[in-house]
Amino acid sequence: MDCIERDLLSVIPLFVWQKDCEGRYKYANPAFCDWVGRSVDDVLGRTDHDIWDQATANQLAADEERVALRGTSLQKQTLVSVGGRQVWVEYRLSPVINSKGEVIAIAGVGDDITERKELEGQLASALDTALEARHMASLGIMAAGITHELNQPLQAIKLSADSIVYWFEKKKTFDPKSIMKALGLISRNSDRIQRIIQRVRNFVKSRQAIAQTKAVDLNQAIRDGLEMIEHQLMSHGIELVLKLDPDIPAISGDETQIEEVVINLVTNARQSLDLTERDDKKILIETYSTSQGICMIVADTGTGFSADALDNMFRPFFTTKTEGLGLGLSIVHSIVTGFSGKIELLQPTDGFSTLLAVTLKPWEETKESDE
Amino acid sequence: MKIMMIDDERDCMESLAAALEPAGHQAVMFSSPADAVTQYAQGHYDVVITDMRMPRMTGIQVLRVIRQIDPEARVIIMTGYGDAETAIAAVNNGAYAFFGKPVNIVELIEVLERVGKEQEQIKLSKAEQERMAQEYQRLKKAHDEMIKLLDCTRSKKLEG
Repeated sequence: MDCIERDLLSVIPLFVWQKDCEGRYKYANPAFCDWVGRSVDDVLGRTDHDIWDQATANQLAADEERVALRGTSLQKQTLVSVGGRQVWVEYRLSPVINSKGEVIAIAGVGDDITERKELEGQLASALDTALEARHMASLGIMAAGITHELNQPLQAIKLSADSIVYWFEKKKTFDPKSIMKALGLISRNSDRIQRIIQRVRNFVKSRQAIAQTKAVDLNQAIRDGLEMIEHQLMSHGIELVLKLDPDIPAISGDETQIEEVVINLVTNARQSLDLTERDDKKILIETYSTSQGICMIVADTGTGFSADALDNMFRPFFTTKTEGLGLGLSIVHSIVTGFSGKIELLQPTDGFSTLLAVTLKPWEETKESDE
Repeated sequence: MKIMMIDDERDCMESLAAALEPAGHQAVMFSSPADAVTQYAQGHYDVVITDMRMPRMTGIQVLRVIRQIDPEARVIIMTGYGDAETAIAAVNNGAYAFFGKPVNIVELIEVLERVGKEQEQIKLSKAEQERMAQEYQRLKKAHDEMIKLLDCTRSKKLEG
């Protein structure tokens, strides 16, 4: 080893060592010696069992055996105990091979990554919090719609039940047929309420785990998402037109998050339509395949986007409306890009004033690229 | 009474119609407010019960159009959104009553009873007016005859 190499190894902030095939330390740089709290003389000639605790020594021995046997290097992150302290370490073991191709020693380079691991943990929990916040914001956007969706069947149930009680107290005889009819209506509307509650429950539950990309039936996700808000559209005088191509392939995404996209886009369209006085209030949802993926169009005859809004539309808390917080499109944007999809504003046609296109990747394609 | 019912929520409307049936009210149901207003004139309805938020037409618009066709029309507005703005618009456009959803069936039946009583009252006072008019004609005739008779007697006296 020449001078430069030796100088380099003595100043480098990484742990560098080399062991013979019997597992005895033949070299250890100053950073390694500092780390294990021993002098160089106290390291050289010793084995892992002299330096480390039983578990770490066994683990290192097993790794070295693998490297010696295969003749290839190995990289690993593991938790070790140094002077009674738990430390995250990342190391790479490489075989030292002579001219005959025999492994004559194992060289190691390691680094203390405890701080990095802690930061990663903090980052993951921050990301988790951000995702949860996004999810809760969507739930907030849905809340008004859900109240309406629940209120309608509740109204039918309450009226049916109240009237039977009222007329019974007034000693009016009731035709059993009309009682049966009322009970049928009560049961049907209870089912409707239960379906909506189940949807909301699934939605809330899904925030607990970071969504996994899987095959999703886009048309079904659209219908499921709409179930929570479509009656609200009716009562706002809005006609909903669905043109869902039944032959589109499954997309790569997460069912609940795609529902979230639908709910946010439709709610946005609804709010925009509420601001207009026109008679032909309409929302169109269309799906079809393109060469770039599966496309979902959400178009409305509302107020449209101004030039200023165009630049800021995906920014959180940017809104041109009096209703809502301005989170809808930023949520949609973050979900869609999270699944390697894209969202763009296209030139509206057929009397529509806003036309948003969400393009998502088909499931197969993503799976192949992963492999 | 014959009631015109307008609501895009079919189940809500059916439950309301069924609730009012034992009181002897007959409900004619419309899911589309536009259809309802075009058919109002032919129906001879005693009262209209309409939802507020519906596709293409609001309850207030229904109220306006129907009151234009028939200024005496009684229109009751129901809304799931009990906001002051709607209530004010309802009152200013001559709504007969205003209900939040879910509708309190007891109160609604009371309001309909009041409508029934008012109509009874109107019928009675119309009959009374007619009777008075007839009585007046009869009295007037008697009075005229009496005058004639008096005139006749006076002129006979003068001759004598």
